[in-house]
Amino acid sequence: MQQWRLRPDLEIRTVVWGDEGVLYNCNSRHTHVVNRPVLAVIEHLRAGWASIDDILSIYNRALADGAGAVDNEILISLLNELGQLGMVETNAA
Amino acid sequence: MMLSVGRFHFRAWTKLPGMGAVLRAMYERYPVPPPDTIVDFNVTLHAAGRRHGWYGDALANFLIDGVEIREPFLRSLSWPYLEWAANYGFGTRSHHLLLVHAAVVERHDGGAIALPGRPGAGKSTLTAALVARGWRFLSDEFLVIDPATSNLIPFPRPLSLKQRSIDIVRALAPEAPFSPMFEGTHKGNVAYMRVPDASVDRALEPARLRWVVFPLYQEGAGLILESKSKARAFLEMADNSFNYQIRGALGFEDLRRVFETVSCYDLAYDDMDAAIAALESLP
Repeated sequence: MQQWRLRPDLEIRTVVWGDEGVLYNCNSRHTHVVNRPVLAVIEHLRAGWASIDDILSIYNRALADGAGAVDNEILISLLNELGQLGMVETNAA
Repeated sequence: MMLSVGRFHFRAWTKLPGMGAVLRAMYERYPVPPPDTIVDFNVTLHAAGRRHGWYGDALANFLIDGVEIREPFLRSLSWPYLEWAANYGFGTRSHHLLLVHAAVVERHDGGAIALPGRPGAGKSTLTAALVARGWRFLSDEFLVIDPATSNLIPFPRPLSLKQRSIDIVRALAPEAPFSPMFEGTHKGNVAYMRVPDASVDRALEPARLRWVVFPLYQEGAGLILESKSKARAFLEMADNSFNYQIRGALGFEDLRRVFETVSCYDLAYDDMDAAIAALESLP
């Protein structure tokens, strides 16, 4: 089963204001504006490997009023993007 | 000679004629530190021959701490280049502080406003107009954050005005002393407005940032003052910083702490009085 986690060598700093936050990637030195659900997913992945169903549940639970719920396809695309930014890795070859 | 601008000190050295008069006109009020003061940087301005041989325009150049960093320029433009050299020296030798490209003024009630802005957005004109209304001037180039306290450190040097804004500000502040106009710099025509004595005298007094306002002068805009996402304002401030990248995670923490207590806005305006009134009534 495919799973995702935060890269173990990743060091990040975050701050949240309202529905948005700022994430600082200490490794790449890039700063990103991210929404609250993405930050929730990143926090969850910091704890270790998680399946797409777990991640989906975390993301949708963090939505302020349920609006903007995503499906697996969108979430995998987001995880791929986080992977390209050097933050997330998957156990799939 | 040595000069103190708030808690920063630099030494300017030149034998070029004509510099003393402008220096006195612009910096007369600033304290001269004791001779054994350790300066933050040294600027040397020197003659650099002539363009196209003996009969060409006289050229000059500057060194920062003994190092030449750019091509020579017309000697008649020595003053603006001395000011830019001071900016360069400060911006490259102050990485123990977080520096953001923004004007900073303090309202009468003690809250400071940062005005970051792209070139042409009207940042310096608005800043000069606020200063003409009695706001304390901290800087027109550098928002300086002290990481130890999250306070803003003033760095009040003459306000650089370009092109049309020179006439606008002269009309708003007819009493304010100006430098001569310098024509044909790489930024167009520039002139400098002297910092009011009250702001020079309070240059050692830190301030607290309360608002970050992104101004944009736009004909026909009317007045639009809109609340801005703090996260997006943070990112723009980081992008506008001279050394956020250099400070790394420290830079993120510097800005995060300051942002905990600020409110952020976008301001589009086409009337200076209306813009000033909006800033004076920010909650």
